[in-house]
Amino acid sequence: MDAFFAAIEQRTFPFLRGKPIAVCGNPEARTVVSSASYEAKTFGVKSGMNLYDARNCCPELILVPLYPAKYSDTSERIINMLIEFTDLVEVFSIDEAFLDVTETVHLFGGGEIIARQIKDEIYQEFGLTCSIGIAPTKLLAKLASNQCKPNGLLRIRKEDVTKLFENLPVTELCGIGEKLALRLKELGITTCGDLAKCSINILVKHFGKNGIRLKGMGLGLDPVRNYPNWTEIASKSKELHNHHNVSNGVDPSPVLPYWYESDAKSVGHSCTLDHDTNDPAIISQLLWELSEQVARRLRQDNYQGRTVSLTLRYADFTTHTSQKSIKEYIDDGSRIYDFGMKLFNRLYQPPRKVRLLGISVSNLAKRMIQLSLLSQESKNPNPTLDGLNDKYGEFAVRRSVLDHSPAGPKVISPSWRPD
Amino acid sequence: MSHTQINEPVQVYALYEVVDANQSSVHRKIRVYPHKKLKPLSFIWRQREYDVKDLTYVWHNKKGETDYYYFAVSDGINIFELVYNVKTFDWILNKIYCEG
Repeated sequence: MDAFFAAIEQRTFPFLRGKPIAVCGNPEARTVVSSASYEAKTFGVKSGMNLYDARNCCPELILVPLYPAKYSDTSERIINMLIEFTDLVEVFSIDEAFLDVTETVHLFGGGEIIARQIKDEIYQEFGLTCSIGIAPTKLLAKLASNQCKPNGLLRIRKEDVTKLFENLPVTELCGIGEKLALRLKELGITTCGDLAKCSINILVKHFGKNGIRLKGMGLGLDPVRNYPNWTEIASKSKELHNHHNVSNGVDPSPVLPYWYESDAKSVGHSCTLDHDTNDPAIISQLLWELSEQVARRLRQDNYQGRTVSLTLRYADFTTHTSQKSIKEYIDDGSRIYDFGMKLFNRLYQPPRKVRLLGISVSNLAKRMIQLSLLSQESKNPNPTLDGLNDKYGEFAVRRSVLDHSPAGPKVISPSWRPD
Repeated sequence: MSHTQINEPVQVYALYEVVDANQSSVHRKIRVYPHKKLKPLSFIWRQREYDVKDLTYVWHNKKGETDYYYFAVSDGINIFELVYNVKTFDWILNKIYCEG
């Protein structure tokens, strides 16, 4: 989707159309730009930018508060639209999805016809535009869609890859950020063509297993984490360049259907405070909120974990993480908070001011409930609380310590997936 | 842009489209665009009637077991956020937004 959140707000509020706007958290507090309209982007306003910089780029910038429910509902309805074309719809983020239409393309008359139909339906229903890339792999499709924004449609064919990649900066590939690009530059690799030509041994020597992934990306293959070995990459690459159909069951990173859920490795939440603080009451309150949110998600997904990790970022951006593993598996907010507080006390250097706190639980296992042979009533309040919150809404009932806290996360998690 | 939180009950005149669920194309439309069945035409708030000149955006949210439909509507001057409770059939005027 093109400037998704900003475009939705411009549809909702006609007086914002054609104007530079930025969707962000509470503009009165510390926040960053979540989405900028194309009118704002022409001034250099970008997602992730702090409001001070954004206003410096564009003094006329109009700030619009985030409305997460509006965006997640729109996204779910768009996904419902997409699964009319194939059930292989992989939700990549709240505003991005991959479709594998290999098996259904004949029903609609071609990939480009499907793409145009999707664009038309989204525009008619929501008044929003999107950009669609058509390609034999997800990496190339993402690249194509990025290159034709806004409101574009671009196809990258297998035979175009070598020429296209020759002078394409590596940072254009999804998965190669600025830090990685700098490390690649030290090896003399600045373009995808350089990456493709670089010896696999050199890449593995410098990047370990990721070297194999990088080599694959240089050849236009998807950056899956578990390429078995270089022989596999070479074989896929040969297929790609010999114009064989890599989507036909041999793509190393197939499009995963929208209903597929991979096993979670960890469940966590973090929050940047509105203002840097060393007030123990504020820090404790935030840790409670985060612990309860993590616990609720663990129980909703039927997980328990036995490693608690705490991340602490100070005002000067120095970041520390500590973790503790315990014997038993837990999914209770107060226990997560207890371990989190112990880790905080271990890490914290008073009187430094804290900017961000995060807590996560890993070493997960599916919850196993041991039934008691004796008919003792359980003292665990969580099933009752969860039942009430399922019925009346998230955090409708909560611990008294959280009485003045907002109900649930204030932002959309990057791991957002449709219900 | 500024907004005022209202959260008051309102009386809404709405068009409820009767659809034939046996027609597959219509059936699909309901799944993807469930709000297509319901369209506010005007509402009365504090003894004054406001005509809905434009329905600018619609979305759905669920709180616990209750579904709510949100309608951003314009009377030509301001944007009003109307909320329909699917369980109780109640309408609420949630917020009023204005430019500037």
